[in-house]
Amino acid sequence: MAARDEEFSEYVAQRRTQLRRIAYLLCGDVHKAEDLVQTALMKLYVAWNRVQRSGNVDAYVRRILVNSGIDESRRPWRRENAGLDGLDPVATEGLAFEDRGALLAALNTLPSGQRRVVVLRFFVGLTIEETATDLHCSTGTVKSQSSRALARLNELLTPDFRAVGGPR
Amino acid sequence: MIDEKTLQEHLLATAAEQDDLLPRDLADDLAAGRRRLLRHRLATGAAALLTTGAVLAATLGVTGALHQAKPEEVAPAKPQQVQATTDLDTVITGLLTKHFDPGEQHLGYGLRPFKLVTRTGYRGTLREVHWGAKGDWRAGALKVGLFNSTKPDEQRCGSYYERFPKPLICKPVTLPNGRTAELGRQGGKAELRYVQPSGDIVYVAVDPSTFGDGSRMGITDAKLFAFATDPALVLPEVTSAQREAADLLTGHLPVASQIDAAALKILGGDLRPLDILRDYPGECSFRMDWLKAGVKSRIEFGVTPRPIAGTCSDLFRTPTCTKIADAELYERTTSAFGIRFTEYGATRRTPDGHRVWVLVTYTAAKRPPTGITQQQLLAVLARPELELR
Repeated sequence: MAARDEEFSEYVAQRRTQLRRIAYLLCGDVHKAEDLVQTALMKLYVAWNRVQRSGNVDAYVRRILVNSGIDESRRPWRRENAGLDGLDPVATEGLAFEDRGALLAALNTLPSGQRRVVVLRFFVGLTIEETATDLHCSTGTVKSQSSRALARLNELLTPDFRAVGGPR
Repeated sequence: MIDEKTLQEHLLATAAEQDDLLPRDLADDLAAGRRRLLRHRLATGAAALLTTGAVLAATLGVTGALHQAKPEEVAPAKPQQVQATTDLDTVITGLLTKHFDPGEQHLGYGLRPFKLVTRTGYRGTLREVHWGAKGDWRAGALKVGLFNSTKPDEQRCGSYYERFPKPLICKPVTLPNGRTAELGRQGGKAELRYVQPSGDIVYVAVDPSTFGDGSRMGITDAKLFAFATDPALVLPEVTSAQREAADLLTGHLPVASQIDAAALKILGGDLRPLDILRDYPGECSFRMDWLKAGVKSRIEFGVTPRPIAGTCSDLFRTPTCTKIADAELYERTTSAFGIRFTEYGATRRTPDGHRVWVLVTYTAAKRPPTGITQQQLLAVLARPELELR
């Protein structure tokens, strides 16, 4: 137990901030993000010996985060706000970067699969193959979802986000 | 087209905006992990002798037995009353997992523990836990109670659904142990109220439709019966001293604003109240973060009434306290987590015999130079606002 505690604590001390950031981008709510991280870390502690032997603790925790379904928790909110299932009316007007919620609001309009891909590919920095492994889907799915997500974000966000040198 | 590198930078900036919100101590993550591991072992039957013995001991009120069963104590130490509450929570959540969610895929216990509440004619605990399913982390809910009450209709069977269009009709059923319970069932919805041989009452409401479709919870009558009659599900007794202490707290607690004011007068800086623990038998404490000069301190103030006040060593679980004037101090550094913790506390008896105490914790090898000094702790303890009114 002492070794487990020591190793687990070192991991949490080093990685907790990043895990909270991932969870926050996935769900857009700091309280839910914190709940999600705590749940993931509890599961990690229980499975610590096995997971550490596998050599990829980050992947284990990350998969709990992205596959937890917490990003679907916005569904009740959507049900309560009839008519918002499609475009967010604020988002259609173009979101300024100065608006701190601009990117989150734009992410919130993405289907959960696309949102996960955006977080894993462009925030965590995973390759297409690694993203596919985390999400238990094909690389083709990752590519198509990534393409659709970027196109959607491109529509919603202001030119501040765009490349100086034009399309990539 | 949107630039991927710019997107990455903005994602980072957006994600980092919440870094300072909802701070959480490493010790809390570790303690939560240990509780989860204990529940897991309860559920899987591993280490059965060890955990069963510990659970029975804990539920019989032998506080500390559970911790002896754990290979290593959680540090930093907390006052004993807080740990006793954790034991009750561990027992109930462990049994919920064992009977309703052995795969640990659905039940979400959140941050609030099952805590033992006492008031006139009542001793027990009652709260809801979430049931998550694919696509909805709160697809359903369980309301669970374990209590003893002088009111015969306390948390009666059918009360959960009485405001619904189709209330549940509860009827007597005979359980496998031969005793009788009240059960209402309507598809996935259910309510059970069972009086244990001890006279304590087990109450469970199953709500499969709090949000969305949670109809596949699979909580059968047999599972409800097994949970309600599990011999480990025992409501801890409140000792006479605890009862007296709880009575002393009733109506005499300092309010949070008084605690804040007392701390601010001595410490200055920025106080961020976190939570208040009260209503446990004889327990009352206030937790807060104190920020000053870039240093964050976790502070907990408490009042322990005379009947259960104990000694400084009892309170802080330390063999040595240093006496200074009418107060006692202790300080400890531990490296149990790979990360060094420094904690120090102070306590004194009030003229009425109650014990007031304060505990400061840093995730560091030693007290920061700009951290709270022992003199400040003693000054805070001397504030009359902390005493029972």
